[in-house]
Amino acid sequence: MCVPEKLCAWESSVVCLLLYTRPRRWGSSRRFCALAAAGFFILVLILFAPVGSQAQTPLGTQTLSLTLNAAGLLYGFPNTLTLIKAGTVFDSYAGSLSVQYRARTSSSGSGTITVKATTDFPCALGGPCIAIPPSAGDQLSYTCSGATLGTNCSGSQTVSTVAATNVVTAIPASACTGGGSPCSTANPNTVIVNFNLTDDPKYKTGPYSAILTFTISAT
Amino acid sequence: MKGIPALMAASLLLTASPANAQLGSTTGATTVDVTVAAEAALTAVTAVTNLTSAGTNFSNYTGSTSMTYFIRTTAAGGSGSLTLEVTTDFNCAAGGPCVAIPPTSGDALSYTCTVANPGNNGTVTPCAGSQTASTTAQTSVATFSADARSLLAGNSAAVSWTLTNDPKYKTGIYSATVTFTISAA
Repeated sequence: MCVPEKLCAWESSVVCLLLYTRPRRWGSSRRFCALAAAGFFILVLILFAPVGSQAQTPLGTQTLSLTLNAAGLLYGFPNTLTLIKAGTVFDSYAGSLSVQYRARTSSSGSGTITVKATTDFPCALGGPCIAIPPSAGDQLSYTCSGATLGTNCSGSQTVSTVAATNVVTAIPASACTGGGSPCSTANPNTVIVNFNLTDDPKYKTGPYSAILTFTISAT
Repeated sequence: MKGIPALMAASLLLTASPANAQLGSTTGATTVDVTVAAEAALTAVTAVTNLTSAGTNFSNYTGSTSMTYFIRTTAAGGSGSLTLEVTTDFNCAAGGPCVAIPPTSGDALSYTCTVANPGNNGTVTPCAGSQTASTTAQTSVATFSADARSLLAGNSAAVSWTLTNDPKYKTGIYSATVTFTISAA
């Protein structure tokens, strides 16, 4: 149903010019109405088009603020490290572990990696024991090498059940892992920890296990 | 349309896995395993033992070889042994003493044993009485019980030698090599 007559009651309107003044040239009333409706919708689209373009107008600038705190993380620990005899009888049991880490320190901060025996060997069974060495001189010791960020532990360290001991020290201020200068090129950083356990003849034969926990800290 | 959520979920899982691989922790734990097995070793074996004759003429040549042993035998059912063997005989053709073919019946390189008990556990049984060294077989110096465990610094053992002073021996200097072997199971 078309309503050109009502619309053109006001004969000077643009709508009237479009919809009413041309019916005789365009044929039937039905065809007229279809053309009139199409024209009307095109007009509506034209009128609303500027509204759409306004959505792209810059509204101002926003500052994105990101605060990176000092942090350190350890990666890829093997579940077990098996110490084996490397050479002659009553030589030490030995084994190596690669510790992977990422660190970010503040401009005045530093970072360290430490290790502690959180579960000792079962001392009561007569094998190795960290807390109370079966013989003076028995120990689970380690050396550190190849730290790609920070400094290797100094010399030979003895694992303790009561205190964490250093693996990597002096991760410097404003340090970060990966990407090259000013960060390290290595990603992740690594350090090799070489363990030695005294092979005391006093140890009873048998399998023994202890759990070592590594901790990284960064400020 | 029902397939789309499932596809999206699968995509999320696939993208999540690499992210998890990057996750770290401020701590990491590793179990340190060690299997303590039976073993034994000798150190500080006297390199050269001179046999000398003291006192009356034709008294036997005597001397002593000392050593330090380390041993750990299996706790249940284990054992150990310390033996010796003459691996290089005296120069028999030179007319002196000879272990393999004694110049005279009764000539012998014999020994007695003194072995301290393992310092930490178990017992040792030194050779009984006088033993005759051989070039063809290992002869006992001591045997060890199950769960024998020496000191960290080791325990002492010694062999006291006696060589017949047979007038038949030509004068001269003669040497033989004796090899000690310790084992544990």
